[in-house]
Amino acid sequence: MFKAISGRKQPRDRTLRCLNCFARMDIPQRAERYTCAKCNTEYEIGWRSGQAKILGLVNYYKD
Amino acid sequence: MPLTGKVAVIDLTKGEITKTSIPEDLRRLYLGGRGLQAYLIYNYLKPRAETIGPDNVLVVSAGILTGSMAPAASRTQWGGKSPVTGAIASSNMGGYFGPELKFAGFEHLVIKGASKKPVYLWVHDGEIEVKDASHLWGKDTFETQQAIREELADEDIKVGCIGIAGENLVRLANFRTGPKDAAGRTGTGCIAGSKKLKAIAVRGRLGLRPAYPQKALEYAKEAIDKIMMTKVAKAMGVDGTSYIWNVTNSSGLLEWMNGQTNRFPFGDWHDMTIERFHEEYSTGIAACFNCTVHCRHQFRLKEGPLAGAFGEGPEYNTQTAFGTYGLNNWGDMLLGWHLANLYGIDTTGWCNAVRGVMELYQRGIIDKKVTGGLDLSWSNAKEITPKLMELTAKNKGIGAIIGRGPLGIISELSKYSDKVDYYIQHCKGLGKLGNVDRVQPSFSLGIATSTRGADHLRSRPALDHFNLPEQVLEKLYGGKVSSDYTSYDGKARMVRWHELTYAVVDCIGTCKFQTVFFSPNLPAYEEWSQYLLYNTAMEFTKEELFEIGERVYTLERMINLREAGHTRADDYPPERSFKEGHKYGLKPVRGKHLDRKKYEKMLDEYYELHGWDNKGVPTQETLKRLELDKEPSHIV
Amino acid sequence: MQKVITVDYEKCTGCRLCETVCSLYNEGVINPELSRIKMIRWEWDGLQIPTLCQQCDVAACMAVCPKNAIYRDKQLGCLKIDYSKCIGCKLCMQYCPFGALTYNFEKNRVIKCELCGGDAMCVKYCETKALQFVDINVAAIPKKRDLAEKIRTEVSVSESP
Repeated sequence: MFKAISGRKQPRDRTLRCLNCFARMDIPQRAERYTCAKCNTEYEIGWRSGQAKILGLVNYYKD
Repeated sequence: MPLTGKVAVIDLTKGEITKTSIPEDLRRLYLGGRGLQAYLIYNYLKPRAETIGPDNVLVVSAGILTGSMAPAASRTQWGGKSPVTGAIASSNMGGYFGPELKFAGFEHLVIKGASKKPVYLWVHDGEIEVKDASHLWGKDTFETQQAIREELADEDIKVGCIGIAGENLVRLANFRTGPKDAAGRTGTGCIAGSKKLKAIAVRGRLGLRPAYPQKALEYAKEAIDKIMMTKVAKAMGVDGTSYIWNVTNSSGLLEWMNGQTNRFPFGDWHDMTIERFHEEYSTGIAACFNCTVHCRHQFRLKEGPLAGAFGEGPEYNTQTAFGTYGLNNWGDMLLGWHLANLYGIDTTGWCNAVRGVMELYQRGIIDKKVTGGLDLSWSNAKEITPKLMELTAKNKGIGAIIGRGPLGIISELSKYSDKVDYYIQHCKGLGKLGNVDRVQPSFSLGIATSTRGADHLRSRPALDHFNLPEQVLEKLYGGKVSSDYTSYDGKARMVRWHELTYAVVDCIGTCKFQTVFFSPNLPAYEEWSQYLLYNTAMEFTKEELFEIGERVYTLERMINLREAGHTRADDYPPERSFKEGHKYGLKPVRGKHLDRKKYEKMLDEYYELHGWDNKGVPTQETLKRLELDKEPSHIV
Repeated sequence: MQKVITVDYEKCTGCRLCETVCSLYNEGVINPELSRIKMIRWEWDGLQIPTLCQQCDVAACMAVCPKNAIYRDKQLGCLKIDYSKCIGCKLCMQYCPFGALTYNFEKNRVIKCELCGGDAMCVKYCETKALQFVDINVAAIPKKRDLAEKIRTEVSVSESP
């Protein structure tokens, strides 16, 4: 990966919002998956420079 | 003196150049950038002019703060009358062109008439020359920029230019600078091509003098520190605008195959993510002038006809364009993107046009006789992309139809079916992005009422997705707005607020991404007043800035009324948005589409907030209040 | 201890804030031409490299100046110009091997990096820390770490079963 990153640490780097129900999700460090406690939507989790991000749905839309 | 940027009027027919300073009262009404540009267009454009011809104008406008001591003060606005829509041409670009123009002593260039032979403008330290460009005609946008630098023996010259698409009067042609910066939409490159204007080269050694240097420096640092503590600054700094794709894809808010499905239908969505791009193609990340967020990607192609080529990008818009008509991996998407940049073609508009034509092919409305033997199935996207791109740039075959944009496609292909109009996804003749608007009233209203046609930057209320508490929204918008992005409540107010606010940003010339576009914690009116005060010594209250936004937006509306007769009938999203719900998506998205009655009511509220009548025409009272009743006033 | 400005070009994004703040702070105008730090860019390769005065121990500029106008600041260890002596002959510009001296055509005098009196502006505004103002004794340690890290990765890969 490139070295040119502004590496400031934000206070809520591990907080995300569920895209389905907007409940707050506190992602454990280095987690790769996370299930929303309120609506059970399961997410693939990624990390960018210490900040959690939603990569996608574990169960991406199937027929 | 803090504001020395002049307006230069360049008449390419007569070969005459005049330079004028901008009077302060005009500044107080229009500020600079997009605002003053709207004024210049309304005053210099011959009413109902042919878009491809000497009566159209090409206006280049740096923001009032472009090149000054404000975060990300890098932006330039391009405009005129659009060959794509017949309404206002308006497009904003980042990079380094605008600051250099300001350093050379100019804020606006109004280019009218047309040259008989290819020319380029050489703008340097208060001087403008018209130089021969016949040796540049036929070169792509990369070659042109470098050739001019070598000819004028200065590597620091910034060059904006057209590729062969602009030369061939392709309506979707754009005006480009650097590896990827573009005044992408509404056909700015076509306007330039019709004037035989190949390029504008700029070099400035005059610099800019902020009114209060120490205060400007300190305040900028404070602003930067605040901006860099937001989550979005980090997201953008690593993933660029593509950080949005993972979120919208998961929600079911992206659409493929021209809006027929909102589930990725061409393979594994993991292959389309920015994470995959990082693993396979990224060579680094860079920034625009004065920007600490650094959101522009850099890459090198590894295989195919352009193996080894260096480019910049992608953007979210690459994925929602090249990633929506059949391409399913970065190698192919980046190739399409890079070709568009070399030829100088609007990527958003081109991919929208291709999607439309491919759906017609899928439905058997057009066949190989119409496409010149080309197989336009979704599954053939990889094979077809370089060929289709070349045909578009050269204005040949099916490429010539695609290159005209939605109105041209509908006009050419309606003879095969009266359904063509339904399948081509546009507003006012500008193609829409490959994202889902139909479930979200604010986004739908936004693309429908945008003064330049279906675009995602005029008013995109991205905040609508953050489910912010209603007290926060009420404080921001000055009225009740629902936190639910599928609701209609208060969305007219939300859209109008963002329209006017982004108009102000475009007058100022700082990057939208470092403003309230992405977060309520990012700079807005208070910060901009400070930037303006310390850099220009001009004082503006929040209310005065907001009024400037109103004035600019309403003036753009007047331009559209005069040039294209746009009224309420043109303020609707594509018909598909009302008729079809998507099969997939999370709970807020699945199965939803626009409700016609509720949309009409929202549109009524929108007009009322703007002070326009129920046909969407600005009332005399509004024009008087905004001092637009005396336009065109020809002060400059 | 003497501090130096180190440049890690791999961290440079080409934003030019260093040029903007340098010229504004030191010359009162935003003008990359009047900046003491210069970013050189290869636009078609995506490479940007900031260049600035290396504050040489054996300085060509100091040696060649006919009026002894260039002197070393005892506290900061950097080379400065005494404008009461400078005649603007520009010999220093020609002899510097790094092109670190620039001519301010507005004020008719040569300018060079003088570390902004100890609080270098370019370093302050450089978001990615491509520019850092560090103690000269530890300036090279990050690079040594990078090399060691490379070796460590190679070793652990080659030793894995």
